[in-house]
Amino acid sequence: MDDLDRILQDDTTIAPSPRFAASVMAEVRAVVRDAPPEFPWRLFVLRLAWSGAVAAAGAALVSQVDMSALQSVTLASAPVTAGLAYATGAVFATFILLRVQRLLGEQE
Amino acid sequence: VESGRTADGSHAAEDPDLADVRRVIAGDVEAFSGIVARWQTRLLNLAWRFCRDRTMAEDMAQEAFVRAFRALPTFRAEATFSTWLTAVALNSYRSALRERVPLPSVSDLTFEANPDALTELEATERASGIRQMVLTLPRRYREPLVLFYFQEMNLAETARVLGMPEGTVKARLHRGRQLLKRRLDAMSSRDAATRKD
Repeated sequence: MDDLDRILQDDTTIAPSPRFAASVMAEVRAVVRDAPPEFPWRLFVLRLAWSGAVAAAGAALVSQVDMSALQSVTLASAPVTAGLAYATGAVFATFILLRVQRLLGEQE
Repeated sequence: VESGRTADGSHAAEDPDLADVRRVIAGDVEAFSGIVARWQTRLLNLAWRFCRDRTMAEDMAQEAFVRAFRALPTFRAEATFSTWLTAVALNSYRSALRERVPLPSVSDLTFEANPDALTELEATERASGIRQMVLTLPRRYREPLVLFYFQEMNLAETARVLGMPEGTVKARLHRGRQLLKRRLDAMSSRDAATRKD
């Protein structure tokens, strides 16, 4: 071991101040206290599954409708009927979504 | 950690660090105080060797503990707790040093570089100056040198903390020491020239 090794090895050791550990723990407690709430993964997955199921059911229902008949009716009464249908559909979809959300909220 | 076994197969219950880690992860925040009590001197002294300022070293060590607390769930018992904690602290110190400390340059240092015929006080000042000089080295040499000479760390442990092969660490230690010696020699020559004038 040469002079340089010896100097680098024999370095001063400092002791922590008496309040150091308490100060670290206070900081750690603050981290825990200020931590944002955990993301509600269970609820998220449940609602995602619900949305998927509703979308699948809707797609299945739409595929069974005779589109040509629907088209002729829509064309005959367009544009008032089409607008009305969209608005009704939107209101109905909103109502269903709110209902499902409330039901899931009650389950939580 | 979940399995309760360490890398060498012994039970976590025998290792107070692993036991505290498990308790903290399970939600017992106060268990972290055991880890702080056991490791505060080591983390503080490592920070001190990177900045040579006591107040700053305490700030850096505190931040390192907070980072370690946040990162505890990522700790895997395959690594020793000591290596993991030192690596977390080193990362934290890198950020702190980037943000806060203007590291000294060689021209800032004034001490008698020539080891011949020094008084005891001059020899102490020289040793302190050389330790300061380590901080003027580029990071790739500074970190291996500080870690290797820090509290009985060997080459293998230094390599694990730095996350690089032992051969690379060995080469960087060698080059770092050479660079230090060159700077010391340059300082000695400068001092000799000043004395002649």
